[in-house]
Amino acid sequence: MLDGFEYIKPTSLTDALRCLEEDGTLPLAGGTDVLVNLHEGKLKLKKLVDLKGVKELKGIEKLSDGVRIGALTLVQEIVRSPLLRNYGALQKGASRLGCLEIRWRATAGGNICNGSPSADTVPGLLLYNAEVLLYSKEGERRMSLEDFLVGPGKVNMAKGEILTAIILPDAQPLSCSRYYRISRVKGMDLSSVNVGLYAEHYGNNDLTNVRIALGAVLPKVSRMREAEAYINAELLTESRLDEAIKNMLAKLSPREGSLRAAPAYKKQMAAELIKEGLLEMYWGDRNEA
Amino acid sequence: MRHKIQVKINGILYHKEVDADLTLLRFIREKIGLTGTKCGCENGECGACTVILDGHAVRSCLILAAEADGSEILTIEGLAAGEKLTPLQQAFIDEGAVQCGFCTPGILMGLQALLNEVESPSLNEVKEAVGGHLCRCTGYNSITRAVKLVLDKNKNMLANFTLK
Repeated sequence: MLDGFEYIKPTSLTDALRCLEEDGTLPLAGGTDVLVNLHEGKLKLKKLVDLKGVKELKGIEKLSDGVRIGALTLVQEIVRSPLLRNYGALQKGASRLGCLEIRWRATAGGNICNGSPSADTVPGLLLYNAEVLLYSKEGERRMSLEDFLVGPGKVNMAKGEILTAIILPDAQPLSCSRYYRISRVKGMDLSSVNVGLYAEHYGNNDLTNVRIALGAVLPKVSRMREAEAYINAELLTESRLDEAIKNMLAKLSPREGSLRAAPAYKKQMAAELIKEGLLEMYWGDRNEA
Repeated sequence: MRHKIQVKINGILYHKEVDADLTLLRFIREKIGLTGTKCGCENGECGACTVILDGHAVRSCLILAAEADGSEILTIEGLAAGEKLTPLQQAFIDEGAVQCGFCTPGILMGLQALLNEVESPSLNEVKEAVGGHLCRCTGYNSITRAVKLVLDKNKNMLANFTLK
């Protein structure tokens, strides 16, 4: 049972910002996390500021050098958008979020701002070096999504700021990406561990510019920068890949007491999925861009 | 503060005043009196409260009634025309896809939204639509069979249709 808060639905970004200046306010996007937290009594607030009345936060649009995803774009719109066909891991991740009814309600911006370490859309976005646009009365700021994510439930957003859009740079020609997820049940469940992989594949059994993102392993969805640098320093061989993964695992310590999987399991699955995915991309002939 | 909202439910327009903290689920059940939409987990997990909102299946327990202002909603009560069941409802009966029946309204709404959008969905699409619904009785096979029955009947109808 929900209890004792107010609701307001501004129709412009300026009005939304003004509403959010008040203490005890919280922006509401799709509500699929906010309502759950309210039902569970985890969230105390005075007023929900529904952003769905602000038109400029919606829709996916092609830019001259990339794609802009409005913060209130529905997750199922990401799954279906032809403009995002070249961002395979993003669409795949989005297609695994919650269930269909949740995907028709949950939003791109909400999945990010909720700050979940297992957010399904985030590995794909990180692989493509996504940036976020934040708007406040001081103006706009732009930063990498990687810097925007801070930790469980925490993002780099000040009171009085709104995430307005996510910007993806153009996908490189001959690039491809993968998203894999392990969960306890096949139906609706959160990730026990998820892995996003990106590479540029030039068809000579070579992978260049390999990128790796892990979810549900660290306090936030994270790029494995050191492993990437090691892999990309020389021609990729299976033994170098094994070495990179071994070094990566040595530095990972997933938290104990996760409801979904033990740390050792998470590490082993991350290793298996990275290796399997990169080998598949290495031998595969499917490019997305 | 109370909010004036206007929603169309099963073709009927309602003007109501609601509290901000009232969910769409409780609005439909308690203020409109349509109790076919079930309250299961009330936490977005089980799918029993699924309704079709502006064409898409959604969970009414995760939406505030105030958020639904201006929208068009279809609940389980809006499927059948009087005594005449929809092909999907009839197929659920024919295939024994209803046991305790608590999940059935939600599953029917999820599948109806799919059939409204895709004329001939694949098994994977059917599984995707049912995937967010907990059913502890049927094991789901009778449910997918029911959808197949509808699709087969549609195909036969098309096959038997000849121009004279």
